[in-house]
Amino acid sequence: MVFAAASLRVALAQAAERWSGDLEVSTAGSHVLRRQIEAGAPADVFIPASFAHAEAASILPLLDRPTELVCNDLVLVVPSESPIHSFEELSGAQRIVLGTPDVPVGEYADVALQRGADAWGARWRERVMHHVVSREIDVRQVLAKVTLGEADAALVYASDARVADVRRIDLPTDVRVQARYPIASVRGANPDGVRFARWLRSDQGLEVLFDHGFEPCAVGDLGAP
Amino acid sequence: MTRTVEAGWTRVLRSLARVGAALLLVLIALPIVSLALTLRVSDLGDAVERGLWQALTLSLTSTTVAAAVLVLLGTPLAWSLARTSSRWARAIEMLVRLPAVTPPAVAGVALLAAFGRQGLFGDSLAELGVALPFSTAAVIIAQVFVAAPFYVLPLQDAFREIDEDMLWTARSLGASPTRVFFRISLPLAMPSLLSGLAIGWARALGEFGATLVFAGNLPGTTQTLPIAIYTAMEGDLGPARAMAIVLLVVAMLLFLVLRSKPLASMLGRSR
Amino acid sequence: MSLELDLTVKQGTLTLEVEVECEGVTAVMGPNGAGKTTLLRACIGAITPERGSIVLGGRTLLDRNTNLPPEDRHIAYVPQGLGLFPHMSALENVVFARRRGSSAQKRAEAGRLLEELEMSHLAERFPRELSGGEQQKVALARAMAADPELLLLDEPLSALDPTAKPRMRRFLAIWLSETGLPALLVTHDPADAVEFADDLLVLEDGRVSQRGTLDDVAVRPATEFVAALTAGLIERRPRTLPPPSVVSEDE
Repeated sequence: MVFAAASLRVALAQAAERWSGDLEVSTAGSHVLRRQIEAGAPADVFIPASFAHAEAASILPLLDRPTELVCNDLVLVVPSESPIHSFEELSGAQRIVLGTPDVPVGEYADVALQRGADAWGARWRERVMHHVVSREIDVRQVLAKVTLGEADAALVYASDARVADVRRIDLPTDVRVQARYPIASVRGANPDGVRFARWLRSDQGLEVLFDHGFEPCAVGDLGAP
Repeated sequence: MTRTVEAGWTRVLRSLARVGAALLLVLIALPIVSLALTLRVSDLGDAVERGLWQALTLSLTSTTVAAAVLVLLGTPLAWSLARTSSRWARAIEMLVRLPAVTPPAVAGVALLAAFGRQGLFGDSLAELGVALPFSTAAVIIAQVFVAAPFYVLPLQDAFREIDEDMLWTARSLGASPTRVFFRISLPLAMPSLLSGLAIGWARALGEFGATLVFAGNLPGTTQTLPIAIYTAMEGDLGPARAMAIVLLVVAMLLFLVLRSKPLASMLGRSR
Repeated sequence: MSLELDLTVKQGTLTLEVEVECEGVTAVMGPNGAGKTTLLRACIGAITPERGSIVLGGRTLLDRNTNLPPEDRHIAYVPQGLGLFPHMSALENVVFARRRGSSAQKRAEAGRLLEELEMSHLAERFPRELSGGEQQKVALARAMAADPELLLLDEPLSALDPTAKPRMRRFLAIWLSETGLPALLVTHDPADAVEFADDLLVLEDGRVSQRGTLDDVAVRPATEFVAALTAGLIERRPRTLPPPSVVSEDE
C-alpha cells in the first residue's frame, strides 16, 4: 500500500500499471496521510509533498530514512486569454488564489513570493498579497478557481498545470521554487512495497513521474526552508 | 399458557428496542464526548492564534444575516405555497427541496454557475459593480441556499394545517388578510417557524462545501468557523479540536434559545 | 333587513344555482353535498361565484363590478367547527371581533357580551378547556361582537352530545330572536328548523327544491326529500296555541 500526496495521484496510477506486481495507492493531503500512518494505518510506502511531513518527530521513528524522490516545480497559471505573461506581472492580477499556508503548495507559494520580494521589492509583494482573495485547502480547489474563471492567477504545481486548460508561466531562475518529495518505506513494511519503492526511484519509475510534469530536483536549496 | 408466551415476546422486543436505541445514542455521543475529553487548554490558545475569534465572529454574523433573510423571504414563500394548490406550487416545492439533497460542493459549483464572473448573471452583476465570489455576501448567499429547505418546507406544512374555515371566519369578523396573518396564522405556525429556523440556522453554521467553492477561504472575509477548522487540521489537530468544540457549543446554545418555551410562548400568544 | 341572492357557484362537481330573498331566520336544509355550506361560503366571500349578485339590506356586496372582501361584508360566519382561535382565551377571541374603540373599550364590550351568555367566569379559559356548549356560546358572542348585519351558522348544534342539544336549541332560539338579526342556519335536523326558523330553504343537488314557511312546506312537500324531512313535523310544533277565544255568552 502506497500513501502518497494528492499531486501524485495520476502519475502513480500509471506507475502502478507499469509495475509488475500488485499495488494499491491511496492519495490524500500529506497531513491526512501522515496522521493515518501515525494512527497505525497499513501503509508500506509514504510519499508526502514535503520533507517536513516525513521528518516530523511524530512520524520519523515509524519510517526508514526518507530519501529525495522527485521534485515538482511551483508554477504560475493564468487563464489562456490572460494579459499576464511573467511572474513579475502577477502584481497586476485582480484576483489571486493560493494554497493555505498549512499545505505544502501554500507554503511554497509564500516562499516564492518572498523570493519575488527579494528580487522586485517589498512593494511588489504587498500588491500581490492585496489581491489574494482566497487561500484554499488543496490544490484542486486552487486550480478549480482558475478553470472556472473566478481567479486571474494562481500558484500551483507543474504536475497540476498540465491537466488543466490554463496557461503555465515558469518562475524565473532566481525566484524558482520546487516541492521536494521524499520517499520512505514504513518500518515493518511488506517486502513488495519496499521493492516498489526501489523501482520508483529507478530510471524506469522516474520516467513515469517525469511524464507527468515532475522534474529531477535541481541542485541547491530550492525547496521550502 | 399463551399469555405468558406473548408477554415474554413483548419483553424481548422491548429490550431489543432499548438496546438499539442505546447503540445509536452511543454512536452519536461517543465522538462528541471523545472530542471534548481530548481537549487541552493550550489548544484553545493555539486556536485563537489561528484565527478562532475571527472565524467565530464571521460565522455568527453571516448566519444571523442569513437567518434574517430566511425569515423575511422564506415566510411569505411558505405562506404562498401553503395556500395554493396549483401545479406550479408543487413544482416550486420540489425546487425548494433541492438544496437539501444536493452535495454541498455541487451546490457551490451551481452558485458559481449563476453568480460567478463567468456565470449567468456575472455580467449583469459586474455592471452593478458587484462581484460575489470571494466576498462575505457570497458566504451569506451560500448559507441561505443550503438552509432554505429546512426553514420553508416545515413552515409551509404548518401553514397548510391551519383550518381554512377558521381563517375565513376571522375575515368575516372584519379582519383584513394582514391582520389574520399576523394575529392568527403566524402565532399558530410559530412552533414550526422556530423549529425550522433552529435547524436551518444550524445547517448554515455548519455549512462548508458550498461556501468553500463559491466564496473561497480568506480569514476575516470568508473563512467561517467550519472552514477554519478544516484548515487548522492541516497543522496540529489540537487547535482544530478546540475550534470544533466551540462550534458545537455555539450550535447547542442556539438550539436551546430558539427552542426554549419562554420564547415560543412569547411569540406564539397574540397580544 | 333582507338578503337578496342570485348566484351560480361551481364547486367541484357541484353547480349551485340559487335565486332567493331571505328575511328573518332561514333554515337551510338538504342532503349531503347539496351545496348548503357552499352557499354560506359564497355569501361571506370565501368562494367567488361564476356569476351573480348579493345584496344585503340594500347594500351591494357582489355584482359584476363589485366584489367586497369578507371583512367588508358585515356578515358573521360561524362554521361547523366554530372556528375558535385556539391560541386565544375566550375573551380574546371575542375582543378580536371588535374593530372600534380603545383596547380597554374592546375588552369591556367583549366582557359584556360574554356575561350576557353567562360565560364571564370562563373568560380566561382557552377553547380546548371548554365544553361543546360553552365553545358554542363563545363563538356566538364573538359573532355578535363584530356588529354584523347577517349571521351565518353552519350546523350549530352538530358538535353537541344529544343530552345537551335540546337546551342549546332552546337557548339558540331565544338568542336569535333577541338579537333580531337575520340569519341563515344550515342544519340537518328538522327539530332545529322547528325551534328557531321562520322560513325554510331546501337545497337539493345545487338547486332550491322548495321554499316557504314550515307550515307550507310540511303540508305541500315538493319532493320526496322534503316530505321525509317534514314528516311528523306538524305534530312537533311547539308553537303556543292561540289564546282561547272568548266565547261570548250570546253565541
